[in-house]
Amino acid sequence: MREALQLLVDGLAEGSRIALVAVGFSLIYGVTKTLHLAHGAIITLGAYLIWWTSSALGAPLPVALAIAAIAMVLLGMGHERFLYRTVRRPSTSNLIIVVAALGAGILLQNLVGVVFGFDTKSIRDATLGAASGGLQVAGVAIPFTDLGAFVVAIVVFGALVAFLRYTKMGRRIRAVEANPLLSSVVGVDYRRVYVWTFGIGSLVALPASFFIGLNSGLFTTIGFDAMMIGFVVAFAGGIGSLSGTFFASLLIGVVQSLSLLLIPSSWQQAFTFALMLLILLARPQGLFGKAA
Amino acid sequence: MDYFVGLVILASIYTIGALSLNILQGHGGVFSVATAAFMGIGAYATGAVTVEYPALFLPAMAIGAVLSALLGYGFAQLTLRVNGDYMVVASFALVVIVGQTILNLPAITGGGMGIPGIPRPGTDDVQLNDNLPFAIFCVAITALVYLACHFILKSPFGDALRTLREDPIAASALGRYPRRFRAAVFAGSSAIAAISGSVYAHYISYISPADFTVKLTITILTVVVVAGTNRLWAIPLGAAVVIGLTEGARYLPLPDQIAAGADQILFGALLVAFALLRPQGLIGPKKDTRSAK
Repeated sequence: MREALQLLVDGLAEGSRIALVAVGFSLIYGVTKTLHLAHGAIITLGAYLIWWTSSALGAPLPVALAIAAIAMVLLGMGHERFLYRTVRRPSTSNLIIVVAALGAGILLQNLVGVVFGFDTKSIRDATLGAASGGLQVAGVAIPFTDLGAFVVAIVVFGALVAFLRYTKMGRRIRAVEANPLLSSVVGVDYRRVYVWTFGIGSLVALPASFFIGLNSGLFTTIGFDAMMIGFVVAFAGGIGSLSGTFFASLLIGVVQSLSLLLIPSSWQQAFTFALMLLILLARPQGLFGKAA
Repeated sequence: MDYFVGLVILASIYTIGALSLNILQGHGGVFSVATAAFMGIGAYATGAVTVEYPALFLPAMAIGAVLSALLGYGFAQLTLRVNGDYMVVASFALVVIVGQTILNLPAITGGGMGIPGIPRPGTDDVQLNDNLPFAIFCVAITALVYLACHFILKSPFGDALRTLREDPIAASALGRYPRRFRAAVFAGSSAIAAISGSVYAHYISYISPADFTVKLTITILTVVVVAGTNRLWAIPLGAAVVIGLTEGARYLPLPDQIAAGADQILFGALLVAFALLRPQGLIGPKKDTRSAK
């Protein structure tokens, strides 16, 4: 029982980290219909910037996070403005966007490796140091970093929903999501809204950079690996539904973790992806999506 | 000399892989990143069989192709209802599932250790241990695969495929059902990818699960994007261009840290540049035929 409880707690933490990747991706895809596969590389860059500014420059954590945030937002917006906008020609198929996104992602990821080195680094030593302990509740260990990921994921998700609902820009984003052409009739330039959407989606991924880096250490593919599961979850949860993405992330995190009660850990990843594939095939609109 | 022969072998592997992706993407209209998974199946079939029975290199290749075709057919049937970006997502999942399955069958695949010491093709009398005879073998296989693709695409089947890509509704009105064709193309493409993987296993002689990730698909995709999807004969040319660039980069006096990422940076830059500037590939029609709708 205690083992199951521990797996549940671990799963919620993992689900929170997945959610931080998936929600931004889902927002971007829902609004712009762009399969932004460079999202992962931007997360990698963010994590490396947090590590570099705090270890090499000795910046305090908030400053390091702010620098990473600025870089991630600008990069996300830059992808839309200078890459996807040009590639998104009416005459070409959507798939050329996938080519551009894969290319940009692999390019950025390896540039990060070239600049900072391909060896594994520790973001934990650089930022939290010895201050990363944890709680013990009824025999279940809850590391502060896991607790932090869970709380931050909920706060970020809540803030994003509130932003979309109550701010002017949020309403514009939702208008464009519903109908880009119609919104331009009432004076909303959907191309600008696309750029903003990429900025916001990238900002949401900042805590993902931090918590995934803390959890697994730094290497150049952490963002891509996280995005692999994140974007499959976004589709399995239901495109166009941010809460669908969020809850599907937590659910997949927990199911993946609890699956260890039944199957060996070497099959864990295949099990999770097979499960998501089945969801996607049985319900293309996603777990929480509305039927088309 | 031996160096250039090695490049010819590599170009054969890329060409066969790119032919597989090209008929799926360019002619079948399906974008899948699972090429690496099917190459892995071919490579492992070859590796597992020929390490024990070196003379059975052709049956091993055939086993890989058949297994891969079956999986491709099954996957196409399963994913009938998904298209476009959803297919990309589903094929990512397939790569992960196949990769971890390979990892978890150590009795056949060596698990994480992989399969070392895969011999070159050959019988008791003739051994293709040297690169030159092996390169001739590779080029012959490539030519066979190329001709097969060429004639299939020229046949009424190929016409039907193109019609399906351009206008599925009109095609079904003419009695050409998208589902059946899509599954057939997927099976054929998967078998070809497996052949590429087989040749790869013979050439490198050591395979492990880490070789067959999406990274490999990106390499093959770069060849297809450089070549463009509308001209079959441009594919070997695309492979030559990509290999020429990656090999050329090795001669630049780059520090080790930069050289470590040079190939991937080059692939990424090529994909971005072609998406931005020449989505139809180096040699493609000036006018995009798909714009006429």
